[in-house]
Amino acid sequence: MIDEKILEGHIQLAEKGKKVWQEVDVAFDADLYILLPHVADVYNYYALLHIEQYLEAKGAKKVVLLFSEEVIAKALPLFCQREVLKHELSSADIDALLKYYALFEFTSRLTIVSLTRPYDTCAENLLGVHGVTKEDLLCYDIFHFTETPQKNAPVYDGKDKDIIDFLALGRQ
Amino acid sequence: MEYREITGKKLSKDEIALRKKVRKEIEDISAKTDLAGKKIYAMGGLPNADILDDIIYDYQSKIEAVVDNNREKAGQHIYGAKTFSIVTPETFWSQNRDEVVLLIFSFRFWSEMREQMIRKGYVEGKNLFVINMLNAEKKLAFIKAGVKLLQSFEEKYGEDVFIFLLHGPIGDNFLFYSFLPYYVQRENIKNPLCIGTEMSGRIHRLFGLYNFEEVTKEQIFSLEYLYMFLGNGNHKFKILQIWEFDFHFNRCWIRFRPGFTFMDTFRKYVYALEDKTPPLLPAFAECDQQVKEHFGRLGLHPGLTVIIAPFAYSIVAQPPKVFWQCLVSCLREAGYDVAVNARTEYETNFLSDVPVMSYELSDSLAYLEYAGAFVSMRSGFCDVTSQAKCHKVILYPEYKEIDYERHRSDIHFGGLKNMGLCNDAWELEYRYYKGIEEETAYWESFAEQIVAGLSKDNKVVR
Repeated sequence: MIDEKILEGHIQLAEKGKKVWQEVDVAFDADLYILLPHVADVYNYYALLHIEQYLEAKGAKKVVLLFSEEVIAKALPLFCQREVLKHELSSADIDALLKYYALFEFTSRLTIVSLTRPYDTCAENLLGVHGVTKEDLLCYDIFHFTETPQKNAPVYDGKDKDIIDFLALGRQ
Repeated sequence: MEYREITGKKLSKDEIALRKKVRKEIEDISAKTDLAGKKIYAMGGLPNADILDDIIYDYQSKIEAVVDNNREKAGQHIYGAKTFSIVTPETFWSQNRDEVVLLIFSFRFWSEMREQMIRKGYVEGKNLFVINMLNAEKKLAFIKAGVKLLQSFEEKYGEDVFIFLLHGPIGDNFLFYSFLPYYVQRENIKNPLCIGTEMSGRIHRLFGLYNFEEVTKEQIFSLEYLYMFLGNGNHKFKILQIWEFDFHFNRCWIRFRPGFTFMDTFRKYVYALEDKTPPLLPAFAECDQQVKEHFGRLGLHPGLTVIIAPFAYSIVAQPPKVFWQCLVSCLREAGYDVAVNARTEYETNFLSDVPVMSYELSDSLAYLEYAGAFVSMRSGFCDVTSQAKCHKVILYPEYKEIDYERHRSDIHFGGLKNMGLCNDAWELEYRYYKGIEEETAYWESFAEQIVAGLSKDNKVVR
């Protein structure tokens, strides 16, 4: 069972997360931050696939994408014509930021593209139920759409393997 | 649009405690700010604005208006005996900032509202205050209390104890218990402990499964916040009501998508069980002399009594009092006796000439079956009594649109038949739109329709 020593580790991580947040928000002062904490994950693909509609729904003018894998920055222009700022964070900083957000809602301007981090929302128990897919979960539970819009995968004729692998996530 | 007549609900201990907390915060604010000298605006739902208005009255002040980001709500709104003005943020921002104070009081949206105003230049502690704000220090205090709570259960029940936290309305608790044994068996949990509210305890007694400990609302928050904060790992506790607003991001919306029923929430979302896993049902008491004598004392005839259940807390748009009054009149004219199902410790019977019937959940089927008929707002009590062999008339607001943020109360999602709880309920939708509560003719007609249906199908012999 959890004890005070284990809890202290989480608290220290949250304190680090507070510093990460302060640095990021002072630097950007954005209307919206979208955090992609997973690596090589299909939710990242679907987040980019639906990002334009999400930004329109949120009415956010200045948007920053936070991520740890370089391919997000490379792939973004294929999905989004709007200006979206990009900021790469280390995995450790992402862990810390998630821990701080799990502690309390320090901002309403952060969207976390995950249903299992920082904690399991149990949403993935509904995969396959009445045909629910991961794309549906991204649209409903993370972006809070009330439908899954029909979107075609972007066309890419280049040779960057990272981008090719990223786009392949959508064909899983 | 909300019907407010049929709450009839006394303040609970938690509500009284909240008001006390808010009063203390207002007292602290008044020490820094002359409330009487400012125009006080509120931001949050009308129930919370009402609480603030009551409290700041003692400071010779009142809520000038309620600020709401939903521009369609702007205008005058009746809440209880009061009328509140709802204004847009733009209207609020047009006021001189030195002459106003904004009190944000919203359980769900305080962070968004606070940031919105700070980014507009309002200063926290000067002209902006967040009531009952859950900051990091408060959350941490809850979390630490949660750790101690878990440790206390471990000491009492053993190191291998696995804790299930359940709370919420009676129906939710009932359905949690209905599927819990499957989960316990699948996960090979040897030492399960259920913890919950007094309501959960009533359901626990009905099922008679596992150990149970009653906890306070604050302790429930502690464990929910602890669960979020710890993140993923081999924790020996499971939060069953994982959709609560206390989980402040990525709350599940898809479970409300057309095609889903409320049963999917429990069977699939909470427990990830196989399709068609049937809910386990508790044993109810047989009808005994005590039940018969109770009917006798109230002058109610077996088989010709309709127990009506007007109280339902998950449904916003409910029929007005006049409907229930019409229903009682029509039933009596048709030769039925009538009683009201109510828990008198927290529900006030607004039908003054109708006797109240209160009974243990374990006796509920006996009462309904002895009575002969049951007309009820769709509530958790309907889940509990879904197996009663009597005429069951269950009422739902007509389906309009899905409130993904909050809940679904419509027949497609929560209908007893659609949920697979029973096939013999007569489930009816009533209309609702702004002003319909004044249309007595509609409610009279609806009541007559119900009584006609009951009389036609009534095969019970006097």
